[in-house]
Amino acid sequence: MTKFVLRRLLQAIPTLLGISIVIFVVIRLAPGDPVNLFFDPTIKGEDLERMRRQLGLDRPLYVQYVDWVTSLLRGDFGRSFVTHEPVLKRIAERLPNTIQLSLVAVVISLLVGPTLGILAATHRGGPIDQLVRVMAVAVDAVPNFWLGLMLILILAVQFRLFPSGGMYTLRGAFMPPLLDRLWHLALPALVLAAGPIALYSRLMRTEMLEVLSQDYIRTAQSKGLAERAVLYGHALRNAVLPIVTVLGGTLPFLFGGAVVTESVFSWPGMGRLFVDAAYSRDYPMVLGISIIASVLVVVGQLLSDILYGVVDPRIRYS
Amino acid sequence: MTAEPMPQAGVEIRPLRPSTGLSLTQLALRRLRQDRLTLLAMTVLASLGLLALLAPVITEHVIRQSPERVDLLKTFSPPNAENILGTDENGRDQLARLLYGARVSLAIGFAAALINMTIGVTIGAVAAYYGRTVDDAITWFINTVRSIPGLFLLILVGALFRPSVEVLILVLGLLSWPGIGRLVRGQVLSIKEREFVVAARTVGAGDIRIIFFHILPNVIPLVITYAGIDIGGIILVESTISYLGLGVQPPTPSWGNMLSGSTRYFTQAPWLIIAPGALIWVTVLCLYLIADGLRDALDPRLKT
Repeated sequence: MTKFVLRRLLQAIPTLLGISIVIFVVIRLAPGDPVNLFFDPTIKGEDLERMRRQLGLDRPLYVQYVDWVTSLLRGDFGRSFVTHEPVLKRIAERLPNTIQLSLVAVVISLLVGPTLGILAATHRGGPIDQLVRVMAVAVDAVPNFWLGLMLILILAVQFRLFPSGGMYTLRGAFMPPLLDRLWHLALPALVLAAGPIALYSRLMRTEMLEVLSQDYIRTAQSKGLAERAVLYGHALRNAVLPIVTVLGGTLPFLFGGAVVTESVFSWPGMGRLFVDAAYSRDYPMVLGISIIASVLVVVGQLLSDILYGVVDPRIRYS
Repeated sequence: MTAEPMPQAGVEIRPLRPSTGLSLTQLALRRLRQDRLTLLAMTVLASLGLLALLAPVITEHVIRQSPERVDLLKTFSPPNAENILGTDENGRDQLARLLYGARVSLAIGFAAALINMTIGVTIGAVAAYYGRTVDDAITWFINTVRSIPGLFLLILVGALFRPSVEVLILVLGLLSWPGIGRLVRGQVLSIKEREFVVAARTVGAGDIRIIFFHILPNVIPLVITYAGIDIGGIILVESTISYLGLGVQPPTPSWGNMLSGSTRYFTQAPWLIIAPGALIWVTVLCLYLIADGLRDALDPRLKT
């Protein structure tokens, strides 16, 4: 097991290197001199030359790249152009909010998605099955931000059932803080969970149908076990495995989705910070968040691989 | 009459499958004709495409509204006889802007998909065909790009370049090929071991010839099936970054950027939120349904 974890850890290194190269290249492809990009856009002539020397921009690209990566490893992500605070500090303030939102979305999708998949599989061909499948395609095709806008329009503006955004009621909250937070979380978490719900329900349906056609299920049924016991005791255990594999794969989706959802619902998380930074051309911030988000995705994939190795021992030896 | 092979003296030739005298394409078309949902999706999508193509004619002669004429005395007017879908915050006619927006959104979807398909198919095939170091390098690159949340990279590019529509097409095409690349790689890995490829090599065919004339034709069904999902996905991504204000830049209308002022529309003009989003939804839904239908028609074994 230790060997398996170590091997997976080593495999993550080239990916992380690759991510840093891709982001470095994208930044350097941008039009204009990095000095104008990162500092004062009006600097010209001699001052520009001096700035370039000071920042090491006159040295070969690979030296600059290595420097940049070493400073990242030391935890030096630079300072925001706008607030002049260290980038890492700002991210650390916002990240917990994004994690909170994503966790609630993951919990919702893991509860709803597989349940719908099982319902569809056990009612194969019937109206429930049709409904679940139509819903999955419809959710796949809906632009996430528009789903959020429509929910706000209907549930927040028209019927005033939910707040239209934010994390908490500013003044005169009529609920205890925890409930107030959940009340604010409901709509954004639902929007963020929509995609994964569709994915999990489809996956669970296919897998459940596959498992239900296997011999050991027929054995269980023929020895007279109750249908419930067969479904939940025998079939579900094996059918749930693929969900674990895609759990890591949904992470990039969740972070991407968080950018959109947080913007729609004014949720003060990392995604919203990212969009605001992109708007105001706060490059160190934009860079820092891209790197952190990518690293989190790689770590998440790593964890889900390891988790898969734990629940399915066959994986470790292949 | 079916085209049975002519019996020759002393040799009895039996076809491998009961011949219907139809090619695989004809069989696929026959299955497609019975698939009402897919046909409906195709009709809707074709109509949308036609409306987009004819946008200048329709806006000028049928609805008699310009997508660009600002009229500050008529801002946020609800749908009425003159402005069928109402007007926006600058008093511009929404229907006219939606029609022109369709041109932009559809053009971006189809053009960027053409780019990413070309790159993805070529690179995926090359990786799988040559294997070893080439494959390792390409697989590493594909996995790397897939680990960066796609939207982040696009927003990064959007912030750095403030792209024109042409640049946006290029960027979307260049950033989104790893998906199809990985699929094609997997497919080619299995095809390249088949007998007909070995046979082609035995008679002296070169690598290029084998890849393009023997292997790639077998990938076409996969590519056709994936195309709908690909185009739909790009339209969704484009609308998202345009909504965030980092994609198609105003005054050029796209379905996404027509929603970017939405915070002001909620109480004043809900029709400005409903219409563009509904159009994106219907378009992408049609593309996904067509992809599903084509997959079933081209390879009925995959039907779930």
